[in-house]
Amino acid sequence: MSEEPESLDSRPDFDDNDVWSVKRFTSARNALKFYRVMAIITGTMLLILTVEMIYKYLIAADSATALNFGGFNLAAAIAICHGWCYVVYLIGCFWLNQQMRWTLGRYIVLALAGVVPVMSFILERKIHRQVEAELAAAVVVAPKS
Amino acid sequence: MGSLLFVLVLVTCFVGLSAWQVDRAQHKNDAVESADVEEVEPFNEVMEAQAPMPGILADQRVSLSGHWLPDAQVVVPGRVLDGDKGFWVVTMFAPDDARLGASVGADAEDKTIAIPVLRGFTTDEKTAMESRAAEGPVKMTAQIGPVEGPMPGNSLPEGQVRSVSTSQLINLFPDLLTYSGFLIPESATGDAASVATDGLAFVPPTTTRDEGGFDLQSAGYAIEWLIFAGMALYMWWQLLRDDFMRRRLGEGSDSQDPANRVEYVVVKSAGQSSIDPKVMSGLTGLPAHRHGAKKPRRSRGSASKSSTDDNSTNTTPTGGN
Repeated sequence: MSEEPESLDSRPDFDDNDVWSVKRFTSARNALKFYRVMAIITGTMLLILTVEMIYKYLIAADSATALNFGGFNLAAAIAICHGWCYVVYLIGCFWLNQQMRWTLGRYIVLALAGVVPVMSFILERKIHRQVEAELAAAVVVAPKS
Repeated sequence: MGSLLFVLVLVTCFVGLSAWQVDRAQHKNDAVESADVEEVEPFNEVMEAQAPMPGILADQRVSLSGHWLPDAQVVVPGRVLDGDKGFWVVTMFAPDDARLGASVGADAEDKTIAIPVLRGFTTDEKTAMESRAAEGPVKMTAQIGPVEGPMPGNSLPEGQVRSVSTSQLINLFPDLLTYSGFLIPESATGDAASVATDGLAFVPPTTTRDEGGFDLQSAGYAIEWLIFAGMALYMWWQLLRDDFMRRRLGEGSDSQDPANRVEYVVVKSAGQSSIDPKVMSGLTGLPAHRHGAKKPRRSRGSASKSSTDDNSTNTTPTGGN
């Protein structure tokens, strides 16, 4: 266990793309956690919003006054709340996407998953597995100072 | 270079969109710039019956004389005054020497021209329904309120409407010609004044334009665009940094400047799921629990840990966490 850490030079068979800095590796781990939390929160908010919209436009008799409690508009509050959660979710996706060095296209897929009900939960599971695999494959190096 | 150009265009767009939203946040609620709405104008000079009201007339103060049409009255539920929910009592008022708009048909001759005027507010439905304007000459100063959109009010009792809407009032009082807009009186004089009398509370002429108001929604959008601009910039910066790092790593030990040679140590090999805290600890000189290991018991503090390893690594910590 306490053997001398190997030098990079003794491992010439690295693929450059698999060599990570410590900072990037820990950041990616944190991003993965943050992404999971935000995917769950945004997914839940989106479900609430969906239910609210169904109630407001399909069930309630008067959609203009539905969910309007004496000056407090619950419908608007849910919409605004979801909007900001989604922005934070986008930041989480961006953080993870950047640390994993994925393409811009992948980021757009992550972003879109946040606006399809239930999709963010499904994608989150898939992404989580993939990130774990990529993190396991990474070789992390630190400068010997 | 292509990516730099792309990012610059993207960031410019995002910042521009943000600036646009900031502008909106400041000015969205402003009405059209108008000449002194505060100046009192003779009513008949600014308003024509059966003609659309120009937006600049919103909030215009006017003076007029005329008489109430006590039978032509509606009660509008769902209004709020000082936080209390209640009813508006709106009665048609026939101004003297009223003018008709140009596009009125011939059948207008035997009809009375009248404008809805807000007589007052009450929280009590019965008071509202029983309130009645007096008959006789009235002089008043009022502010022009904007016409409201018609709202379905099927469930309302007779004599009540949801909004002060010209089209709805016309249907209720087919013998009247009216204006697009209604009046909120500031003061009324004369024996038959009937504004804020018999149990009705005076409704202060509130402005419909929210001047100087800051729209939070637009401000939010402005912040969001700035966040996106930041993301684009960060993406580009990271591309550059990666490129730089890869080149430095790729150069290998022999091509490096011997003065600032950097040697790398593997702290996590492929297959491991996390960085080995002990190896990191040896590199940075920080205790292992700072690198994700379990925190040691207090009694056997970090003194023993830091003494385990070589003295070549106790220089500068290299971005541990």
